[in-house]
Amino acid sequence: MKVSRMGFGALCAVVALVAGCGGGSGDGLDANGRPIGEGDDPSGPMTASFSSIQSHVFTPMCTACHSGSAAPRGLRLDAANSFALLVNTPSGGVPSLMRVKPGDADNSYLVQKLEGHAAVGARMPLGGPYLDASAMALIRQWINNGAQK
Amino acid sequence: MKALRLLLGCLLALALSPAVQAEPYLAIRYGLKCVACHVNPTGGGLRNAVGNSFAQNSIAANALPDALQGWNGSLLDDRLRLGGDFRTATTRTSVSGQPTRSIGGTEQVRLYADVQLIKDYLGVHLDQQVAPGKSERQEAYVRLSTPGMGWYAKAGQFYLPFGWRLQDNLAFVRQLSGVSMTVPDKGFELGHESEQISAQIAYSNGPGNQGSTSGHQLTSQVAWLQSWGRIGAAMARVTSTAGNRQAYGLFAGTTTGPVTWLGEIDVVSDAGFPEGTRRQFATLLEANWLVRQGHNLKVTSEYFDPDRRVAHDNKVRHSLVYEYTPIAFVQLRGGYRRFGGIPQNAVDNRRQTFVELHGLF
Repeated sequence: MKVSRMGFGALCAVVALVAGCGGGSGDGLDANGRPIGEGDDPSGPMTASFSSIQSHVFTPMCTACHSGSAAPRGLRLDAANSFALLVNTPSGGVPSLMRVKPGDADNSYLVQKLEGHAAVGARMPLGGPYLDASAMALIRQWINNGAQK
Repeated sequence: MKALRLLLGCLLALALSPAVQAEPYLAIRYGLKCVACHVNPTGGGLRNAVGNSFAQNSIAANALPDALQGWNGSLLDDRLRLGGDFRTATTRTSVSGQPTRSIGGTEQVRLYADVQLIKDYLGVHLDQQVAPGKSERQEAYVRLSTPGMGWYAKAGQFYLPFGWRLQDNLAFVRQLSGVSMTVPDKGFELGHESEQISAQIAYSNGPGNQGSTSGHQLTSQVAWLQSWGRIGAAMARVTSTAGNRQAYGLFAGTTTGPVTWLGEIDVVSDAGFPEGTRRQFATLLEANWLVRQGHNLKVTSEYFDPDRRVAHDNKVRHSLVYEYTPIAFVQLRGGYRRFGGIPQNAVDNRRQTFVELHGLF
């Protein structure tokens, strides 16, 4: 019993310690955590353009994993690489499908992964929160309009 | 007939429940090496006979029903070992300014098989994810070993060794290192297991070296095992046309009374970012309180600095999880996660509550 009290006390100390730790203040940063002016400002409403999707979806939600040299399946979704690695590029999971097939959102692997009905693997972003219907509609619109940069 | 009954019983258990992947705190709490309970020397996935027995006698709150007792995963005099893993979850996410959303469903169903072609020397291991979506191979390798895994080599597709092999693949240290049980890689691994040392070195393609990106990855890890716990170091060097990357990790675990502690610190230097090299840093501190057998309270605190050159951009992730294992091979988990990030990004400050059901045989 004495040992259990010690354990409980130690856990309480940890809880108290971590409860006081929060995220960064964000001073001088945009909503994606980058210095103001470095990238597209995502503060406005999302639209069906590539740059808007990049700043509202790819940069804030996907680059936690899909960036740098260890990006899963080599898919880097930072602003400099995402377009080339998405549009008319075969997917790693189902190579017969393009990640983004201009004019055909239904057969774009990106849409299937984000909507959770891809043939392979888990829905993205892994663990959520997933994109809402309005964001998906804009991504679909961008692709069906030709997936222009 | 008895073996068939046991197999059917286990399949029924798999169908009715979802799965428990062992976690490293169990190895620390009970002073065991990963290879003591798992077929894979670096832990996770398919359990060996000791692991199955341990799960039945030392982890669960209650004994298994009679029909399931005695199952140890072994068939044909241990030349064939089978297992499975099923996990489902319901997660409720709250983001400021947005409607609260609940998502539920099967997270994964996996089947494992290990065949010993030459007993104790040559084996083949398979880890196949059969849901969600189409069947997808996670691990498939040939293993050459000395008895007891004193020395072993494996070639094929496998998970790389780097830090704690956590059940939580979304932990900051797993995301930053790029090594988790969602990211297998193809290559060759050489390992050594002794009473006090566990060491691995792997040469692989690199999970990011696919498509138009090419290169390779060298990953190594060594852990010193003592009666008080263990301490280890890991390193991964990626050579890539996308930019070179170096990752270094320190990890340790110990037990104080009923609480088992895990810690990990990872630092990464990655030249694969548009602005050049980005240096990143992540930590994990985890406490597991054994309330009583079958009941574990887990408190986790994580920190992530996505770019050390940029101030005020750090993220945190705090979790409180209760794990109840009513019988071996079934676990219920319920928890709360609080994320913290810059105030400009509401998603980085989300809250999550979740209930998970895991089953495994």
